[in-house]
Amino acid sequence: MVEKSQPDSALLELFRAELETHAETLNAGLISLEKDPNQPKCVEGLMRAAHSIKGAAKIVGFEATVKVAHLMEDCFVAAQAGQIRLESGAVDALLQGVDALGRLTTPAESSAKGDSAEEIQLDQLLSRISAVRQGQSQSIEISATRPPESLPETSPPDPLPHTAENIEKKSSRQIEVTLDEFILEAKEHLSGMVNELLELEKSGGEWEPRHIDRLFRAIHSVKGGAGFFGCRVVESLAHALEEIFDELRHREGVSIESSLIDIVLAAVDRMMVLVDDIRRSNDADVSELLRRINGLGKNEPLIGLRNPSASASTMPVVFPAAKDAAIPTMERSASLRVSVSLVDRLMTLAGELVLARNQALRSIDDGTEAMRPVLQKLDAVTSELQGAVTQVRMQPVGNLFAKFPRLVRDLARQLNKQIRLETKGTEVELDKGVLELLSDPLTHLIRNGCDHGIESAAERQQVGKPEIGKISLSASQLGGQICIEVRDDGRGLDFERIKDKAVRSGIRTIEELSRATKKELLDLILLPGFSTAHSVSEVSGRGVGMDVVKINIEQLGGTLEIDSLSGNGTIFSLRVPLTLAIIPCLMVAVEGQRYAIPQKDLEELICLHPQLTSATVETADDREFVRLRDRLLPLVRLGEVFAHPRPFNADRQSEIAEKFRNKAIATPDALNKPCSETSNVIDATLLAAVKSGSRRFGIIVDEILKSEEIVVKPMHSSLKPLGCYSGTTIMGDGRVALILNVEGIARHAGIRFSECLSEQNATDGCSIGEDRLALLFEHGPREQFAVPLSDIRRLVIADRCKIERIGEREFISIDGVPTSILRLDRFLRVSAESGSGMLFLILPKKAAQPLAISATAILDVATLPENLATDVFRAEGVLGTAMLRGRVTLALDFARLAESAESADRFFARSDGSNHSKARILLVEDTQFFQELIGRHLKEAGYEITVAVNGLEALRLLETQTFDLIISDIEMPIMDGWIFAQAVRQNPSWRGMPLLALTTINSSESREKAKRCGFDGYLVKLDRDELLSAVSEILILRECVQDNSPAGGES
Amino acid sequence: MIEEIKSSVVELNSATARTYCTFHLQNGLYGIDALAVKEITVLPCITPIPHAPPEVRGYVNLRGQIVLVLDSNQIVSGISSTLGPDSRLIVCRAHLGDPFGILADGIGDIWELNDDKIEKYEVGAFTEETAACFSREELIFGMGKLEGGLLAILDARRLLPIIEAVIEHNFKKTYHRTGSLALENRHEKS
Repeated sequence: MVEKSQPDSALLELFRAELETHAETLNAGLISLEKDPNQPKCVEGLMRAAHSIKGAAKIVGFEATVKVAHLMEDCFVAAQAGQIRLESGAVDALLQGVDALGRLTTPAESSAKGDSAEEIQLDQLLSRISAVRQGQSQSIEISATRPPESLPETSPPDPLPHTAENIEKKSSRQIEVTLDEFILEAKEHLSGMVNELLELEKSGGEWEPRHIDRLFRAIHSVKGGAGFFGCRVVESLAHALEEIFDELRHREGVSIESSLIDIVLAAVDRMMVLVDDIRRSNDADVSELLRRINGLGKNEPLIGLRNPSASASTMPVVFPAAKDAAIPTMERSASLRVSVSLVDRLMTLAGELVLARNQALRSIDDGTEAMRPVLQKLDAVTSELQGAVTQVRMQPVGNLFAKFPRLVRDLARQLNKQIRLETKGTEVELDKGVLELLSDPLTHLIRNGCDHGIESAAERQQVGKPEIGKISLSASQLGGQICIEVRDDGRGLDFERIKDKAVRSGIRTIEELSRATKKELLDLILLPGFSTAHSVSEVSGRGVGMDVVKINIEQLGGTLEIDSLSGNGTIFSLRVPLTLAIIPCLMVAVEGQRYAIPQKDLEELICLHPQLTSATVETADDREFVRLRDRLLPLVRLGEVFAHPRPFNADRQSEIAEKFRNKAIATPDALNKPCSETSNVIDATLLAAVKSGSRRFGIIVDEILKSEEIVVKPMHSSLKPLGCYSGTTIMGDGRVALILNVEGIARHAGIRFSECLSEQNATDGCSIGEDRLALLFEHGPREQFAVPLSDIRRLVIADRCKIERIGEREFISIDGVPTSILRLDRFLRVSAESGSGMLFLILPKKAAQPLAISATAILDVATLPENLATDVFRAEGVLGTAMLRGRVTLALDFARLAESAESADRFFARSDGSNHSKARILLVEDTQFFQELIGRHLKEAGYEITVAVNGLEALRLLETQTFDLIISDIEMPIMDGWIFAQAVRQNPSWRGMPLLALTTINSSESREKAKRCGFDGYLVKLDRDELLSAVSEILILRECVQDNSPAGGES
Repeated sequence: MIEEIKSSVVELNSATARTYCTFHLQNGLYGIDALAVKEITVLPCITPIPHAPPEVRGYVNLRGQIVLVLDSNQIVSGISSTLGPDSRLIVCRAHLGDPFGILADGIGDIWELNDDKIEKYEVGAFTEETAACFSREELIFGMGKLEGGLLAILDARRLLPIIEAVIEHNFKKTYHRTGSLALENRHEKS
């Protein structure tokens, strides 16, 4: 028989991973069984999981694990055969078994009974599970409420199974400190022992009493310390060694064999490892080692160790698995474990490949037509590769959700409530990093839900709710974000108590609260130290938490929203990005170099232009500020920050302030310059308003370039002290750009606003509610208008000479797209503009066709009052009127205005007779051949085509552009047509979008499925005429529907 | 970090021959153990890093890997390198730390030298205060006697520690000047 050596660490790693997966299955399965014991399918899954664990444990030689798993498997087999029923008592025992499986992850040699407390516990557990197997769950239910207590005298006084708990019990800072001291001391003693032992070995077994004395004293100290801190396992090892040394002391003249030293060294090494991670040391299984040490001390006379060959044969650690030839092999799995760094490297290389491809495409240009198809293929493969590599980092959110059923179950027991957890959307995939960071916030929200949300059964009955409370956890993907919802059907948030608490803690006045909206009230509970729980309980309600949850989510670049109906539960909606490796950033430039500001730090962009706004940079106390909506925003000039490697001091501040004060005075003549785009930009001060924690400030930059999604790479470790950067990235042209750390910049520039003041400002900013901020502008000389900021995509300064006229209508090219200009005086009874001077264009976020409202002056950003007066000025496209900045202001409904403009446009278009020649079609197709072919057919018929290579990309395009029709393939990488169609149908704004499937599959099932998924039509590739007639049919149909319900769909 | 520098002192053994990759700097010919060199490349576009000491020229993108570019002239003689057509980047191997490379004004030959052809510099007294300037001196661990002249041999392992020492030194100076502000910085670093 081949002797097996200790399983290598890679194998153990694999085993632990495997064990974890199966343990999760077991946990989840058992809990669902507890709810409904009649689930044969579920039992089968449990049986398989237990069986797999057993098989794997055998291979690595974890005998105790094999035993537990084997017994559990037996239970499940019996349950499946109907011999026993797994009631909640039995489930308890089995769950403990699962816990034990997690703990027993160190090899134990045999089933021989050791005397360690661990084994006794194990035996108790085994007998409990055996009892389950025999169907005695009744009696078990009673004992289940009590932890096993009877431990033998040899065990230390504290019977707690985990040192961690043990230490936490005594937990005070002092103990923590002394524990650290103990660790240091123990390690000193142990390493001293190692040297001593090695000396002994060198001397060939000859020793003097003082050597052994030293060893004895060292181990004795370790034992004492370990005993004091309840580190049972370390103590037991130390005790065993102490006995050996004690015995040796009394046997002078006996030589010590190296085999004895081997064992002692092994024990010392093991203790070193255990001491290193002292809090988990009691989870370790050292019974095998103990047995060997005890064997030395008692059963075998020390002199008997003389025969080296005999002792050698006892030395190798033989794993029982080696004796068992018929080991079932581990289930073969189709997945592979790969290190994250390797995946990152692949990501990088894929990105580089894209760059290389771009260079290649640029360099061939004309003349080498033969190369083009090759390069195009390279192009396609590269994009696909990049997509696939990104996919590797993704994990289903179910992996995270799997731990919550257990949490809810345990909490429910603890709180004496009945709670059911439902999970949805477990298949939604998220970046591993994001997933890990979501764990804490979600745990917190679920704890909160169980503790404060769900009422007791009696309370629920009184208000007529089902006795069992429900917490549902669901995940879904919305574009580039994942939305996770934690919803409970409990008592909901008590608004009165929130108000009460807010007033009492002085955060808000009663006056303010009476005006506050529901959302504003809900946001209050996200403030630090705000808790409405009646009492602080074990589970939650300490007032720390919700703010931490919010901060955690924000750090991920996500958002947290709360909704609650008093008496009907609470909904927490988390939105987080799909991945952390790629973050949206604003690219800015300073002195010709590009820098990235993470979008999560960004509040708004401000352009201070002498012609456009009265706001300017003001200087006081050698610091620069700008007044933004009546708040002072401290300013930092990024160029100056970079010019001075040392943090700013007072001298530097005044030097900078002086420099720019002079500059501001030197160039006030900008007003008289002719209106051309370049001069406008040069004189403007561009600043990005950012937030760092509770502080807000403005960063002045030379240029604001664009928003971009960038791949984050770390800074060089030698440059970590440079606080102004959080990382690096590679730009599209292959150059490196630095990612700014807003907090570091604030520190460098010495932004000094007392925290509470800026805090107040920050919360005020939040409570305004971004949806009520509006842009104030003028069109004619008389009226002031307002458009909600949320409706605006961007502002453009128009060059009057570039406006073209076609009949009544005016067009201007913006980013190469002909955009029709909407003049307010043509739709409303307002004054017309003079036709000279500056002209601004306000581009809406949502518009079926490119369109812009013209304006002659951009005045300010102001908050729209909640109640607009609607009877002063009534007209289509006007929301109402309000007094803003001392003037009567017309608040515009952008969507309505755009619609009436579009219907006018359509009228013109129809009269041209080319009604759908401009229809925009989104073609979702992965094969280049079909992209070309279908694209050509459609283009020839006069449609405008945009191509997306898969569903995901198409969804992204849909977010930014509008289309009249989507034609989608079914079989595609990353996101196929089925999922894509469902996603389109789930989004309310795309629900009416015609969706045509175009595929090579021609079967009735897939036609059926297409209908179910939401496709309007189904075509088989590829009949040109059939395609074109189907497309025009759908488009005409759509137009009729729209005409019949004018101005209906959008609002 | 001091320990790191001390332990990185090269043990010379007369029996062994090492291969050195040589390159020109403003002050003459320098060499670096060829085993420490990953590749030599034409300089890609350098992105400067504001706040980094002059010894750090910036970052470059080398096939998707971001490499820190150290200005060897600045390190050796305190004069900033002038980039020319012969300028090259000597990229060091990964075992020396995060990816970095050093600028060379021109690349010389590959030399094989027995250790007994190298006269080792004496290691001076080493204290926290002198760390920054001292480590710069210690960068060169010996002189190689070539047939045509002398070769100053750099110890690649000391390059990053030098940069770290310079940055640390700068922070310390700041600490003396502006007190608590810089203390915060240091705190964050640790």
